[in-house]
Amino acid sequence: MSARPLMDCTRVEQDEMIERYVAADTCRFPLSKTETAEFEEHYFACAQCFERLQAARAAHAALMRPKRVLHTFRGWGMAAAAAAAVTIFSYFSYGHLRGPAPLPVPSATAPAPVVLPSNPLAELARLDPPKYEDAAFRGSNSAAEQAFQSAMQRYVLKDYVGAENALGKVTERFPEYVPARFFLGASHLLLNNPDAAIAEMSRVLQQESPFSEETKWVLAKAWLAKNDTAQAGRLLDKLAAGGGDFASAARQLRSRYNLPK
Amino acid sequence: MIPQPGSESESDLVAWVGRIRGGDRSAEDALVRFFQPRIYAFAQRTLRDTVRAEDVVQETLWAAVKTLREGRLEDPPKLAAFVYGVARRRVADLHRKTSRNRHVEWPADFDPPANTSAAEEDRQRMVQAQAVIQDLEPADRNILQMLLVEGLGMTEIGEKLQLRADAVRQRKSRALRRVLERIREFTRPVTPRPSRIAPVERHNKQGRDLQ
Repeated sequence: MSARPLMDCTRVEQDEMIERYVAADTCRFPLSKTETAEFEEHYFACAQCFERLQAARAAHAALMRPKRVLHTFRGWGMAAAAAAAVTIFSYFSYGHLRGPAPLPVPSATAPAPVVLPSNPLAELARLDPPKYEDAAFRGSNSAAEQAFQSAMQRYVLKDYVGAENALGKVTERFPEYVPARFFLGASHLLLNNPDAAIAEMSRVLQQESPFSEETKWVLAKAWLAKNDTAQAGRLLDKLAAGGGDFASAARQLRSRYNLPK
Repeated sequence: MIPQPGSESESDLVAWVGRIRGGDRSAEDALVRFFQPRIYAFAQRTLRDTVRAEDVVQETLWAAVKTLREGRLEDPPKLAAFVYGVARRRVADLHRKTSRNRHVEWPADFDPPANTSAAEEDRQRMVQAQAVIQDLEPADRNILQMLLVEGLGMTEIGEKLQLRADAVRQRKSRALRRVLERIREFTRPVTPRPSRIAPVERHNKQGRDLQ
């Protein structure tokens, strides 16, 4: 049996190592850990292969950017409206989005208090983007976690269209992976798509997870976006009764706007 | 001709080891320019976090320069492997640590060449790549999409597009070569600082460039 050739430029080319390295999240035949380490050590020394890697990385990043929805105004309109809503809501509230916080466990601090709005339900339904930090995944190496972290790069950049797209693919590949589904649901709501948000968040609630409280909060917001105060009220009651991180905000929201029981 | 950063040969790398030991700041600059994008590409892929990847870059480069200044690299031809090893350990350290938002400053006696961050350079390369990709034939664009985003192999792509695998490979290579050429055109030129070797002053100076 012949030994595998040492890592060199020929092997990099023949084994499509650059492409498999760049597309590791989705590649059917990703590089093994050994191959990855050998390839990395190779490009640390090899100018030619590193140049080619940089080109592939740049192309990958360009292709991952969300596509412009030129054929329909609705796509841009929804994304712009969601971005504006988040900005306005953040301006009036204390809890504007800070840098990365512990994740994917919900934030330990309660969400921002709601300000008196002129159009109650529209304001009530606006969602402060759930915080994300990848601290909990340090040392993790599962395919689901890697795919999730890659998708969340869009979310961190507030590119919710891109995040929605990427997280959708993660949940297709890994339907049981709760964090992806949670942030997908949040992205749907941030893009003013409460039906899709409700569908995803309802599935998240079917499983025990650290997201339960925050999921109910986002779900309540989604029902408010659909003008269904009854459903929203029931969820807010559960949050208030649960005494968790969102209990106070849920009580406040309920009492201030006299949501029906 | 102004050399493109990162185009140095392995013999250049070996030469840097001796020059840095001798106090040559321009060799330190060259080392930083050569390894910065490599360390960043590795760290960013592993950590998925541009801020922490930049921290790994800083820490790794400083550790490498310090080692070379002190003459502690036993096998100069293994410089690249050494730097890679340091970067791997830094990334592993970050995975273990629980503290967040730990920002790393350059040490006071290290004066790296002024440049944009590795993340910003990545972004600029992405912008150039996007311009090229928009101009590609749809079939070539599809090939890159299937290869780099969807992770399909050449044979699979060939089946989907009804092309032979070697035709897919050729088209892929041609498309990526265009991206590479575009990136090369826009890569910032390197203006090396004059070589300053002052072994006598080295014992006393603060590590800043002599004016």
